[in-house]
Amino acid sequence: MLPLLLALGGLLVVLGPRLAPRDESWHRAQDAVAQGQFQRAQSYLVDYVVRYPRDGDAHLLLARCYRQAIENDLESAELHLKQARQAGLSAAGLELEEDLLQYQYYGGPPDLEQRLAELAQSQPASAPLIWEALARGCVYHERLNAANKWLDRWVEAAPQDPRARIWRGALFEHLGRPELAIEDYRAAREQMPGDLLLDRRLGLALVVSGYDFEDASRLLTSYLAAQPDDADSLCGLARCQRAAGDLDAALATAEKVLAQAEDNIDALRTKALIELDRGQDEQALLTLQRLSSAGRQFEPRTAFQRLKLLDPVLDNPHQSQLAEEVLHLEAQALRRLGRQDEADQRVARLAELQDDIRQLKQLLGQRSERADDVEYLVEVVGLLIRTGQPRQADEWLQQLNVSAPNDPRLPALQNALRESAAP
Amino acid sequence: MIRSVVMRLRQGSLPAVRGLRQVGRPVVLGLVCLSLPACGQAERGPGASATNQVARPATQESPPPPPATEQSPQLFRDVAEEAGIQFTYRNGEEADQYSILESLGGGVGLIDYDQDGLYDVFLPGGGYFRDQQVLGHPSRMYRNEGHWRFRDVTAELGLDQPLFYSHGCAVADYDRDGWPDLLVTGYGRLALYHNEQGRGFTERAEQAGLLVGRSEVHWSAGAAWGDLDQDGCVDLFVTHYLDWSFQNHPRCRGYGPGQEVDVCPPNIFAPLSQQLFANQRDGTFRELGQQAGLRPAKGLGALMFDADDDGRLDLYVTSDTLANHLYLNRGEWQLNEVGRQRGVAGGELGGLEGSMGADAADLDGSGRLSLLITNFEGQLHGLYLNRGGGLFDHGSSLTGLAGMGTNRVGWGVAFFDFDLDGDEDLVISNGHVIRYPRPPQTVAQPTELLRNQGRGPAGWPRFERVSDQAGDYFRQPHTGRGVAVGDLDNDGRPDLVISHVNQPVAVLRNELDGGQHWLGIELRDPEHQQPIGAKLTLETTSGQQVRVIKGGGSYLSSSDRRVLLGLGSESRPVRLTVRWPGGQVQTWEAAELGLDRYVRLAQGSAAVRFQRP
Repeated sequence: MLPLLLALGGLLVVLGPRLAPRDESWHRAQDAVAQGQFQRAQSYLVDYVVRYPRDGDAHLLLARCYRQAIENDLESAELHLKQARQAGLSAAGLELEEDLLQYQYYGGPPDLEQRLAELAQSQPASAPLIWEALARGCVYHERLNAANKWLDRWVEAAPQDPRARIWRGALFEHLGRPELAIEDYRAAREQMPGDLLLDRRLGLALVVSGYDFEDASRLLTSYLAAQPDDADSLCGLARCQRAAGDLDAALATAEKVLAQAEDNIDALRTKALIELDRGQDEQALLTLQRLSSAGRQFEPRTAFQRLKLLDPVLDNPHQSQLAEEVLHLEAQALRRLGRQDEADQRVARLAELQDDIRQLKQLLGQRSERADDVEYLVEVVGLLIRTGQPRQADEWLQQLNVSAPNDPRLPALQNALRESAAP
Repeated sequence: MIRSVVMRLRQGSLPAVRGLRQVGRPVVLGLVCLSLPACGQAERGPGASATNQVARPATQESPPPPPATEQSPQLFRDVAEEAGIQFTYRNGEEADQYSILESLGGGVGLIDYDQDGLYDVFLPGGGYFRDQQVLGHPSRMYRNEGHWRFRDVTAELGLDQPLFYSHGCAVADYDRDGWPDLLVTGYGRLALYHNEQGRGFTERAEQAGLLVGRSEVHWSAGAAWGDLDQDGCVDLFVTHYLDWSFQNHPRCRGYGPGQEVDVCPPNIFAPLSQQLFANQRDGTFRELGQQAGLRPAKGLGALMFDADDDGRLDLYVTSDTLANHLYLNRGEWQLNEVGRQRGVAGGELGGLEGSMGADAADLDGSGRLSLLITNFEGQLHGLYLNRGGGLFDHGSSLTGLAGMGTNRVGWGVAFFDFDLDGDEDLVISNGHVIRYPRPPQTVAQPTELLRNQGRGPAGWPRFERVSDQAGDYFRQPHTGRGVAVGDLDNDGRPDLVISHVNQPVAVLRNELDGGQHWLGIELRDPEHQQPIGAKLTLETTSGQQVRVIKGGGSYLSSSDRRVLLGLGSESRPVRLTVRWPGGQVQTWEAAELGLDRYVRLAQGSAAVRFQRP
């Protein structure tokens, strides 16, 4: 009898998770997952695993939800995968999820990417899940070109999946190719009609690319009806209004943003352009000073942090690009004010800056081959300082400090960096 | 009814057009013609009698176009096939070389080579690749026989030998013999076809000194003729694109997923030196580019006009992915590059752009020419408003051009008054440069027609896109490149010829109807040349119009150099003032000029020579 009871007990341990009742929370979670609503699914599953802590499938699903959510929680995902295994789950699905988490969280080990890619090729049913993890892992670790490649695979494997489209669109925007995001956002909207956030995404992509100000205006207006203070949407709308020739409305919209955030770069730029359109050149110079100052305070990493959260920014200006814009527009205003010498100085500085930027781009393209080349590091730091990118310059300077701590040029570079970063 | 149609057009809901007026017009014009001395005498070239020019008998009037249906109003109707112009510029892409050479396409040359008063059509042929050889397709010349019939005269004129892979063309009478000559640009060399009094062309580039002294890759694209040193002879500026050759032919990955190869972007190639040829008045030229201060560029478009209103022709050069150049002519062959200082080097925010075509027009009634350049996708076409003193402001937003968006790759561009209402409208051809653009980009893109809505409170006009209402051609996508404007049937309505890459050329007949009046002017200087740089001011009962004869312009193309002034249905001309290059000013009263016809005015002569209506 005892052996029979022990055997039955053992069987329950093994089968326990399978025998747990699939209650309403479970079914709701499944529905939410099917809709790509991972955070909502999490809340159902957390409730479920409290009641059925030995349900390995639930832990696995919860881990996947933590990983796939936009605001993902990779630590919690790892924890629930452990609990799934402790609950006796040993299915291939668990191993796959462990690999996906490993890649998305840690970016490795080295052969994992290749192995997962091959698995996706051989198992079409799992392919979207795998391409997603590869793409998001690359985004997470800022390997954006590789992310682009995996996102293409994801979209190819699941063209109807709005999440794949949205991720790729967001990456395109971040890479400065908003026009390529348009098609993805339009495809996503077909699957999610009426989604206001998608209206916003598409509207912003249309504005930044300049592809269709009319459609952008319609979409952003629709979003602003629900979220009237969204700064990016307001800035986008102001650009549309200016393109349509409605300068009064454009200025009012830009001012609304500036009333909330006086250093909003896009609103300041639009305001300056409107002032130039109106021939208010003195006023434009003042606004351009504010824009210049805001540009120096701009944190370029913000856009990347927002990309990880799938939160598109209206514009992702490089600091050097902002400096170019300010110099160019100041020159225009000064010319019209008859201050030709000052205008010429701005123009000369702009030409130097554009040469520096071109040179810097070339050098940054050699990064992998010349990472330990001290002369290279010195040159890059100098160009980063000259092009108004103190934060990046600081990172490279630290690298130089490690590679050549006794280099006699270090103090001068440090001084130059301090001066350039000063407000 | 007709008036209401025109009103709707002006209100932006473009309706129809077409041929009702054709019934009445010949009668009216016939009456005008009968009242003139020597009307009906054809003049076949400058050697003919200096009487009033009527190139074709009245029986050769254009027949009315076939009636359009109510469902398909056609402001512009593509009549290429029925007119006998069946030609396609070929870029050789079938060899799958994915060469950037394939992306430039071809232009259009309107040239009245036989001086019969009707503009003929020259079309560069492009080229192809055999192994790694770059070879040319023959170009084509179509003689305008009247009645919207054209005849292929390429062989009989000696133009049927493909010398090289061709792109563009530019027309001028470089040797002052009274017959317009033809320059053809392309890869490897260029050609200068001397017009043998309308009976044929002989190629004289080498003997004219246009092929000497170039150590770099020869990739000529745009060209502009104009008298830069004011010696009475046209000089020549030629753009060169970039340093591609099969010795510098990297394989570039495609731009979409899984796309292994596509045409490379221009930014991986180096710019080339540009060429400036001074006309030595003996049928030869001397290259002065470096001496004059020209800078390397990835040159495409070329335009000569007086940017700073000092009476001298200046030079504007569009440069792909680099700063565009404005050269102010200081005399003595000194050209100062001031593009950045004058605000015409780049985009609205100062960025460098991929610029292609260029044209200029007086947009604010000041007599100063504002400048429009076409750009790559993602960049606004640049409309630079001339504020005087050679200073420009980027005005694409202020004038509504920004509203058309940036989703096109723009090429040919021309200001022209398609609706004859007295202000200049715009046409821009579009088409992508790569073989496999990612959606939403497409290879073929619609040509844009923009209507000038008149000046607003700031004094500048706003342009409104009316392409969708302009006819079937404008509703379809094309691989557009060169655009030339000309009145091919001399009916006062400007027509268009548009070259496409690997698609048949379009000949767009303007079928606007609505009773608008017009006046066509052909200027001749003492050397029998059309004086590039001349400024015409027509005072009318409703204001004034200023037009300038420009050198070069559009993209790889050469337009009808006559000046067509639309007068709408209400305004009447009062007087015409011409400021000739060199500063001489002449005035003609309206009564001398008449209405709804072409007249030829010669510098220093009060005589008005009427041309065929």
